Order: sequence, then structure tokens, then C-alpha cells
Amino acid sequence: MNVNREGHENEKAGRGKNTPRLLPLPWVIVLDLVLIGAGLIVFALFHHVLPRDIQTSGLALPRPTTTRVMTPAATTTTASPTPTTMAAGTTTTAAATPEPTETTIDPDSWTAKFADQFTDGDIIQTETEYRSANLAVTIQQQQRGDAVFYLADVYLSDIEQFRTAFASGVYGRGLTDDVLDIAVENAAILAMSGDYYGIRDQGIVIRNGELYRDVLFDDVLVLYYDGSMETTEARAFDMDRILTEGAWQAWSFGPMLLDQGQPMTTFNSRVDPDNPRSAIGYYEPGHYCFVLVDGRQQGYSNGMTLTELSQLFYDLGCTAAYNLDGGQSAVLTFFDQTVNQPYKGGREISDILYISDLGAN
Amino acid sequence: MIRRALPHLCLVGSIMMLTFIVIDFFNRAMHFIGGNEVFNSFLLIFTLLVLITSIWTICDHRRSPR
Repeated sequence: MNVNREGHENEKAGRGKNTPRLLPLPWVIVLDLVLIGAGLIVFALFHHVLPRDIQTSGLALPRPTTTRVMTPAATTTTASPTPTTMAAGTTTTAAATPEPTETTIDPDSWTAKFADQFTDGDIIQTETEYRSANLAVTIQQQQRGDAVFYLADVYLSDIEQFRTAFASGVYGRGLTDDVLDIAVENAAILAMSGDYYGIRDQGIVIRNGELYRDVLFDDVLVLYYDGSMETTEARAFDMDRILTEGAWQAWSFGPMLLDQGQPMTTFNSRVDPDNPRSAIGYYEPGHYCFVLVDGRQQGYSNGMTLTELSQLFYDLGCTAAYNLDGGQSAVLTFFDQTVNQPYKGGREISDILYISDLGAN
Repeated sequence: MIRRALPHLCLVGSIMMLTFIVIDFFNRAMHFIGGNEVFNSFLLIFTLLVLITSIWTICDHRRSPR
């Protein structure tokens, strides 16, 4: 027993001689905190900033030939440049062809359906409105409670006017740009921040008829070639079905804001407090609205909760609505101007959704 | 040196992990954890650090007199 104790003490003494002096505890704490900060920065660098997974094009999805396909809204006796750019063909051809050709408008087309929204060929453009023979966009600023929001009402004549664009023009993680810059590069008339797909490895990404990512994340918004829009919970999502039915765009952010046209109070998201929001609403094929809610700005606008946003879309008469990336990302642009007052001036993001006028361009 | 640094690295890793869990709780759309390549790499490194530290600590305890 004594031998053991002596041995232990000798060992401790020996270790004491060889062990270098320890740093004072405050220094150790500071160094650990610095290491934590550095670790988080390195993580953020790889997670947010460094580009990767670059794809210049996705898997082209065939346009369906079933009844779900929207027929061209207007046709002329002369051939359109492509089968899908009906309105563009109409305007351009009419202007370039010396001999007037007989124009017939499909009574089932969006051009006929929304004829009261479109012009006869003139382009009307103000700070809050754009109308042509193919497209109508009007923007209104409104107040609801302590939130200021912008409502952009959109009537299309062709689904290909509803487009999306990536930062730098290519799909990839970590590629970001200002919403306004992406909008101007793509000659967008109206543009809004998208789902910031580039921040995640998951989430369905279908853009302009091309599939870039088919990894499910949460609620999904699908815009079909026929102009219909559908929100789906992740558990009910069926990739094969949406591909068969002709998906033109698909976003993964959410949550969905209306349940079969009814307002919701519980959501598949925890970001429920007042916040800047960007969201899209669907009335009927060819008729949509973009809603941009400013927030986090005392004295101007506090933002909206998801419940308030859901109620707003219900009051607007939408049948489906979907929340996109909000917060500092929430930006709405009209031509080369930013419409809203983004929180802290906005941030660079990976994608936008935008409206273009095929005819006018 | 490595032996002294390992517990601190584990401490740093565990606090980073807690940070990601808290952020992810409030904003899942940012996708900080779960199926994320960067997080998976971090998780692998963190797990290896904890494993080495644990083995080292157990060996120390077994060697030290009772």
C-alpha cells in the first residue's frame, strides 16, 4: 500500500516536471471561442459561398401531348417561330409581313379568355403597369395591419412567359446574384426572388421545362405546361406523375399557404413570426399573382406571419399559394427598378422567377 | 500536443453541432443539417475526433492507478 502511494506520488512529480505550463483558463476559453468562430466561418464558406455542382443544362422534360397541354392561344396563317411562342409569333409576324394575314384567335386560348386585360397591339407601360397584346402586369402597394405588401397581378397569353432564371445563367450551388441583376440580364418585366435552391442539396428543381434536381425536400410547388399550379406536401409528392402531366417549373421552399383553397393555420415551417415574405398565388391557368411583403422595418412594415399570408391569399381569391424565400432575400422588381424596400437592401440569391413578354421582345 | 488539443476540438465541434441544430430548428429551409454534403463531412470529422478522444481517455483511465 505504501509502495503504491509512493509510486503514485513519484509518477505525479515526474509528470509535473515534463508537462509544459498550462495556459490560464480565460485564454483557453478565448481560444476555444475563436476556434468555434473559425469553424462556423469555414462551414458557411463551404455551405453558402463556394460554387459547386455546376450544370449548364438540366434534363429536358418533354412537353406532354395529353389534354393537359395548353394549345397556343393565338395562331396566324403564317407559322410561328416555334410551336410554343404563339403570341410572339403573332405580333412579330404581323409587323414584319407586308401583306396582312388573317388572324384567328382560339376561343379557348388565354388571349381570348383575358382579352379585356390585353391591348390590341399597343404597349402601355407606366411605373406600375404593363400591358401588351400578350401580357398584363399591374402592381399595387397595399397595407394590411402593420405590413406593407406589393401585389403584382399577372395575366399571360402563354405559359412560356412565366420563366425562371439562375444567377450567372447556370445551375449550381453557391452561385448567387442580385435579383435585379438577374432580372435585367433576362429582360424580365416583373421578377421576384425564387426558392434559393442553391443553399440546399435537396429540393425539387425544375426550371423552364428542364429537371435539375429530383431530391425531395419539403412542400413542392409545380407549375404545369397547361398553366395550372399545384402545391404538394412532400409525403404526397409523386415525381412520375408530375413529369407525366407536364411540369414546366417546380420550386422547393414552402410552405404551401392554402389547403384546397382554404386558409391554413398550421404549416410545414417554423419560420412563422412576422417576416418579409415573397409568395406566389394562383387563380386559374394564365392568371397569377406575386406577393412581396416588406418587413423587419419598424415604422414602415413589420412583415407577415404565415397565417396572415395564407389569409391574404384566401382573401385575394387564389386557389393555391406558396411561400418562397423571404427575409432579406425578398425582392420584387419591375423592369430595371426594385419595387419594394428589401430588408437591409436585400441579398444575393441563386434564382428568380420572372415574367417576360415574348411578343414585345 | 495533439492529446491536449483533442478535447478542445471536440468542444468546438459539439458547440458547432448545437449551433446547426438550433438554426435548423428555426429555419429548415436553409438545410444546415441532414443530407447536406458539407454537414456530412463535418459530422465525419467530428465523430472521428470524439472516437479518438474517447479511446485515449479510456486508455488513460485504465492506466492510471486507482
